[in-house]
Amino acid sequence: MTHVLRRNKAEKATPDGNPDEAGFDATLTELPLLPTERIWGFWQHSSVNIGLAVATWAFLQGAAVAYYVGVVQAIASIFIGYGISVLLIALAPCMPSVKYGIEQFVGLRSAFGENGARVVMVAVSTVLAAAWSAVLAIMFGHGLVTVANQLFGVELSESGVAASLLALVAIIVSCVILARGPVSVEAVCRIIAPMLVVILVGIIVIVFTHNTWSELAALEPLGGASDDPHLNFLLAIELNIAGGFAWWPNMGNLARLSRSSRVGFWPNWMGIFGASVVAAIVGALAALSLQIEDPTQWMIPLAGAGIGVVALVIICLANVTAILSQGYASMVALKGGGGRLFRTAAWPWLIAVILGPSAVLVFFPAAVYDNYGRFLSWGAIVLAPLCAVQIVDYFILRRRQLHIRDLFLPISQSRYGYWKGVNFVAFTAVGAGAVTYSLLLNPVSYEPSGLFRYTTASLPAFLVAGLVYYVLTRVVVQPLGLGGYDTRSARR
Amino acid sequence: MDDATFEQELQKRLHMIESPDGPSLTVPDLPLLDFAVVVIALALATALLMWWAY
Repeated sequence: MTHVLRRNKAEKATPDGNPDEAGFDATLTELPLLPTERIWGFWQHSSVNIGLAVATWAFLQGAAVAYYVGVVQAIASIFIGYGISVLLIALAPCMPSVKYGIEQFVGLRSAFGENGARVVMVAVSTVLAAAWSAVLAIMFGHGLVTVANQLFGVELSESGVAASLLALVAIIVSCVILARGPVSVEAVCRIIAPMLVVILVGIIVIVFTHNTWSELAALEPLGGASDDPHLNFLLAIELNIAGGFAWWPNMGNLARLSRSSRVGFWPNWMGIFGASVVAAIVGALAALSLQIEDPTQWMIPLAGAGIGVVALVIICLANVTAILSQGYASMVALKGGGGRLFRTAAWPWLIAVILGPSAVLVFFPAAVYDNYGRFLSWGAIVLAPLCAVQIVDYFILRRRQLHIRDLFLPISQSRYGYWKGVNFVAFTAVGAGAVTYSLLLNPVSYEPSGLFRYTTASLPAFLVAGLVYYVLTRVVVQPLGLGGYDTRSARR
Repeated sequence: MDDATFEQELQKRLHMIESPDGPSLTVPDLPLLDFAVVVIALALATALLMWWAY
């Protein structure tokens, strides 16, 4: 994504102080951006946002929802779940990033401290990027095994070593493309993304050609009819809230490039809400109409052997482009906000940090790909509380005012220094949110508690984290004079 | 980017942010109306979908 802005920025270069003339791209650093570096209007931000949302993970999302509910409840749960989490993400990290033009993990220093924010950034950028890349690579492996079985009449197992080795190939290919730089990444993505949109439209046409709405609405969930349809509906909503929160690590740095707060806010509703909802609903329709959960198994039954194999190959390639987008965004985040170690690190080392763990994870497909819902839960356990802490800190405690210089001052001088650069209260709040989530929905067994059927898990985790952060800040942090919470002196 | 260049550019930008005469690097906050519109629309849509889904 950032490669797109790089090129646009060069095209819009102005002679008055554009840092391009100084030989560097500020958007790839943690520097606050100048007005000339805020390159996105509404449609540019929207197009990038939509491009990220329409990817193969939307198929996985739709299929996961289809396991629990039928068509009508799938549509409702996808809309409601994504609506809630996208609203929260559009507030934080997006709003502080767009207001001050700051890298989103730099903005997080006001709540977590410099070292604390760095820990969050490195953990989120590496662990989640590695896990998502592994999921996509395994999907690549599944797809190519299906193609091989169809073309050569062999019977390779989709969960066997062949699929894992092919997944490893996807990781290696991604490494090679990433090593060639952002131009290669952009070129590959520009070819594949429109093809994926064609496949989405094709699935809609085929599904509605072969089924009436009444037939679709009568289809049972992939997991079978439940004794407790309300619980299944709540599980589906939870899946989609978690799916929306999964965008948290990336969206602030997109909003940062927008020219106004409105341009940083509304495109989220076009992309990670609108496009994700449409694509996930298409996935749910395909899964339910075929009664097959794995998206790589849909194409041949839907479109026949010939077109189906072609579509499947495109989907496999789309998985590579999604790995590239995810990997590149994470590497840029590490390089920009990871401090001196990552700022001066060579590109291949960053690739190894992001995609190295994925190369191991692809040999454990049951842990990630076959348990997509659990995998989303593992992310939401942390991301929902993180979002809550930042919203409470920025909107309630600081009343939307940050001291930008203090975000960059040494820990001993910064009002955001806390305890040696770490705000333990913020981590305690995130921990409390994570525990709340785990008590409501076991992330390992995916067994919900009795209370879950009234609350979901992400929303209480969000609320508890926000409340704990607010109370402990008022009771502990402010009386100690830490955190610079005196907003009366804040002018910017 | 080396440390010296980064620090030099950072100080230049921080000075611009803090200078009352310089160009503003910050943009105005999101109007409350925008937020209210989304919250109300989302609440209405959620209620409608919950009714439809049951």
